[in-house]
Amino acid sequence: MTNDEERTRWFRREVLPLQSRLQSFARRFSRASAKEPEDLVHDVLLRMFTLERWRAVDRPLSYAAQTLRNLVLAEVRHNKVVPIVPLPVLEWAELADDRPGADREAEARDDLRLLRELIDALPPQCRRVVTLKKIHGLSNAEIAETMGLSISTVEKHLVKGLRTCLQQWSVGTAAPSDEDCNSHDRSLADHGRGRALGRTHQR
Amino acid sequence: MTDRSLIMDEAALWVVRISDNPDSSMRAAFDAWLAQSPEHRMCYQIALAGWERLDGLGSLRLEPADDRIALPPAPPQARRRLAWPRALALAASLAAVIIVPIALLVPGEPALAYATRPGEHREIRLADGSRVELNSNSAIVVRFGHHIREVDLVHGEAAFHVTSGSRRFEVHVRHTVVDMTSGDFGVRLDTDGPRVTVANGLVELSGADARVGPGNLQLAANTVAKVTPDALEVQHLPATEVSRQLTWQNGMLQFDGQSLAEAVTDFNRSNRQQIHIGDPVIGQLHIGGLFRAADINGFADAVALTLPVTVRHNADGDIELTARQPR
Repeated sequence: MTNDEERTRWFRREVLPLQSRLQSFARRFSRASAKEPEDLVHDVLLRMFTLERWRAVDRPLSYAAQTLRNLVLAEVRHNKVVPIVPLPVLEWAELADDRPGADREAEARDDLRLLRELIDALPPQCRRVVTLKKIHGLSNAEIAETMGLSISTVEKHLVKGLRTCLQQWSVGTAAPSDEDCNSHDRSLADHGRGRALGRTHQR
Repeated sequence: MTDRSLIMDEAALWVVRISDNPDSSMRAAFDAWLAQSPEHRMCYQIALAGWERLDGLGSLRLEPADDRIALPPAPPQARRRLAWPRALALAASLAAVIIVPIALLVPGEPALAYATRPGEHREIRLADGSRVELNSNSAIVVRFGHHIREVDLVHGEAAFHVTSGSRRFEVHVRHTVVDMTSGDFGVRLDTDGPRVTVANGLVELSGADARVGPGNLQLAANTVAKVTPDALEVQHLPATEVSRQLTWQNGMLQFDGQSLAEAVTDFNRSNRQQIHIGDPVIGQLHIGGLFRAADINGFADAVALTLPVTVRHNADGDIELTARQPR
């Protein structure tokens, strides 16, 4: 396996599952950065994806959170704008549950039910196409024939279904509250607990 | 739309395409797309990870504990509506009433066919043009009217070839209702419950108590659903396996307006026992129906029932067909 392949594997296994948590961090920088939280997270993920010294990262969440903060700082300096709000302080000590796999375990437990909810929320035609694809395992051509659609329409529905799910996953399974977006002084520990409760409730 | 969103859309489309057909000729275009930037490669990985995460849905196929697709046992009164047709079918089978399904005839004239004889395969043409192929030792009750296209599978196995019509075509088997607008599917009633095999079209499966779930369960082509008292298992199968499950008619000879002479040639080719046509004129009669290739005597009997033909067994076991003399 080449270095690129290994790094891609590391990214898929260790970094990507952090996406929704990074998203909630990014929302806390929303006053300091002109960028959308989604774009901030995207930039952070890209830094991680292309990181030369990825093997040296032993706590991906901490590293990603620091990267996020640095990106916002660089943006602020570049714009020569003095922030009128203080940058939130990420309390590194509270990132202690940054152990590999923590998110993936929760993901595996929740997935089937959450997947069902995600799929059920899709528009009807899109839901049928995704169902035929992912539950019944039909090829795109078979779906097109069964539903009387063109293959490109089937592809569009699948892209839409996939993008909708990706969007849901990227913002996290718990619906973001206004409080999440506004509070600057809430510690990460508080945030982490709130999220854990959300998961327990969903199960 | 931001660049991020645009690239993610493209990445999702590549995932959808490449996963559908890995040997795709689009591969070169895909590689070129990937080569554009690390961001493209990352977006592809994100999209691919999500796509693979959705594969978890596949376990719904075999998840008996899932409350939406589990099929609870129906209460005994649930199919009260079925009581008298069932009794009729039972009476019919007890009385060994046999209506031989065949038909004949002049080309262009619709083949009329009803019913069943254990040990035989029969093709039944329904009033709307749909066809039912009945496997051996099977029984169905057909109810056709202005508002219904319903068939009860009482026991055994049948394949349905449904033509589109203004009404949905329903097959009732035990407490399960199988329905579709047009297509091909098979239903077999095993001791532990029915099995539904879909070859073409979209079939909906529901319980008599309507507790399968809102919107019922949809079965696409090349899927097999097995309904047991506890659960419903749905599997996707390769088209070849589906056609194998449905072609118990294999070894069958099907005629649709061919001449008796042609049919006899077909039977003679697959049997040691031979049929001889005594009068050339009857060789020109037209026949229709589905026959077991090995059941040459059954074929001769069916011909004798429907055509002005007399069957005589020769000393060597061969069969001779002659024109029945007008009385």
